[in-house]
Amino acid sequence: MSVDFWATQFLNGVTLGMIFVLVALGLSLIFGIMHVVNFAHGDLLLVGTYVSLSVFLLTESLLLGVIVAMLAVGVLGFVLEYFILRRVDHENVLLQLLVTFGVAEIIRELVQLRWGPVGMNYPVPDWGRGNVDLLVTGYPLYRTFVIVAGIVCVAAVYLFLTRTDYGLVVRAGSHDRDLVRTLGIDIRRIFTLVFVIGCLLAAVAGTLVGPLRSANPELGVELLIPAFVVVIVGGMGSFTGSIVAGLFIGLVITLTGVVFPPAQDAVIYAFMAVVLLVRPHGLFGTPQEAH
Amino acid sequence: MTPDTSTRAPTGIRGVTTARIKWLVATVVFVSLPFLFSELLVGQVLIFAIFAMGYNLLLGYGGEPSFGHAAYFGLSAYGTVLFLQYVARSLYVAMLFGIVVAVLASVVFGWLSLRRRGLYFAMITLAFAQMIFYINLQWTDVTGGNNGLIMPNVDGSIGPLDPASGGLEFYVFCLFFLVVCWFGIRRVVNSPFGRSLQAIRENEVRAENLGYNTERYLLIAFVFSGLVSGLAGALYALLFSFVGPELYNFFMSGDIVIMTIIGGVGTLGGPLVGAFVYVLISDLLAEFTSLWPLLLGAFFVAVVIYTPQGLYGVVQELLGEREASFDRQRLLELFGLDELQRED
Repeated sequence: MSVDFWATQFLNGVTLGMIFVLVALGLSLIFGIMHVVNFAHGDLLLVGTYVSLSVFLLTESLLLGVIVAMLAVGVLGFVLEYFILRRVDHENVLLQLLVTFGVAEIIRELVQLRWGPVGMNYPVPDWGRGNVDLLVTGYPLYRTFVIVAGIVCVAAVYLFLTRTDYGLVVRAGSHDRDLVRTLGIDIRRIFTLVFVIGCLLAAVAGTLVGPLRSANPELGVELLIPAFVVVIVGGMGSFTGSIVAGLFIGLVITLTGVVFPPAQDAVIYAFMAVVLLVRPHGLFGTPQEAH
Repeated sequence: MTPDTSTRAPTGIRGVTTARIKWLVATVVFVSLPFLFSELLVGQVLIFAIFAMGYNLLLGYGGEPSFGHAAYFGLSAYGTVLFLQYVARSLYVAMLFGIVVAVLASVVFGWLSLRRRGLYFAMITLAFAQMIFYINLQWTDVTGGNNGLIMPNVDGSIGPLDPASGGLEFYVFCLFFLVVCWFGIRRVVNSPFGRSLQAIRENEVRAENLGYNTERYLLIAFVFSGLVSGLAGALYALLFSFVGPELYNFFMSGDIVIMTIIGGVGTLGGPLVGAFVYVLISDLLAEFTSLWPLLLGAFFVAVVIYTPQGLYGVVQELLGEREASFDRQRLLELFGLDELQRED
């Protein structure tokens, strides 16, 4: 149990945490403005994983894989929002949640039809096989890439939210969507936009996580539920909350896996219970947002 | 026999009270069911009907959507089997033990989950159910992990009947509990407690200002639904003589929400109809095509989009028991912006 061992474990936690950040950020953005808990998010991610895998196996290019995956999941998300969610009254959040739950089931079945119910190996790309020398420890290149790619995505979302007109509308809408509507802005178009952005993040997360785990039909749900914990702990709709809580949950899972493996999967839920007791609205949520 | 109709009997087709029509249909269905389908299938229909009725107490009358009720179902089923294995070979004590475990868990998780409402509540209940699921999976020495547990052979004779022997005897046993739950839940819903609960569902802030301890009411509803879910779980263990981790999982929790919604949330008959339709349709579809989960998912989405009041709501409209879209309007108020602004 030397320094480099713990450094490696720490970085493993950050890598996993990055995946959670990307999933939770999408969920949180969608919730912030649409007030929809998107139960299909995990299975949209799953589509990203399988599509990028297929393209990757065909072309040997993970970059091409992630682009096609983003296109595919983006279009799927657009169809889901534009043709299905819009038909359910957007003030009725429970029915919206249930629709996404039903759609998730349909997507998962379609994925199993196309790629089979058994998992598929997702190889690490050739360029990611080496180690990076990080002074204290060598760390697998692909995992380092995941961390960097995660940071890039988070930065992109941050710039979109703070530096563009659409981002401004999204932030305003998260604050008070009725007020935005009264200003004559078509909030439904913003809903679609945000939903698609969430889907793009899911596609990237789905691709990045592929070589870390293998592709299997349960992967979506396995990542979605910890992502729920992330948004609850971080505070729903909070950008900072998703990032801090995502990384933290990733670390908690990984380090528990080292210290006491049997508790690895259950620990974050106990942790969430403690957070709820101390701060019911999450670490970065404001009490006003605590519905 | 919804709460809306209990005070006055609406007259439906040609002056016959709709209550009578429904009792007639229910009697015919329950008598013919065991002769039409297999033992396991009809057992599941009844068990899920009980489960959904209990769940509906929280979702339909309390207005809080739990996504983790599989936890109480599974804990009770495992509790029953573990009691038989380690403590004593007494079926009914074991079932009681299982139900007590479910009730205790629902007290703790309910108390924690009710710190939040609405969508947060849904996710928190889901997270706790996942915690139980993973603990169950890892604690292989006791729970058998992924392999599950086989229930020891027991003698459950009550006079000449032995529900543990399966078949028609198990069916009658389950039906007995279904009827007890039906009348019990109807009693609860129409009691002062049930009325207060519905008042809280309609407008929690107002109820709170009137002096109600709303959290306590919701917790009681939560625990009561945990109790009924526990009963369903114990019956499930008895039906299959086997318990596995899938009893706890995300999809089980989701299934029970789906049954309640497609049947008709917040009505007494809705969950019953939902469980019947869901279990029977999925079985029939599974016989014809391997695509059945896909078709079932599509059916569910269609029901949610086109008839948010559920199938039982449609029946009620046809029988003229209530105005069309009445429940839709109420659901909008229930889960709409009103809810999101509740604590502002």
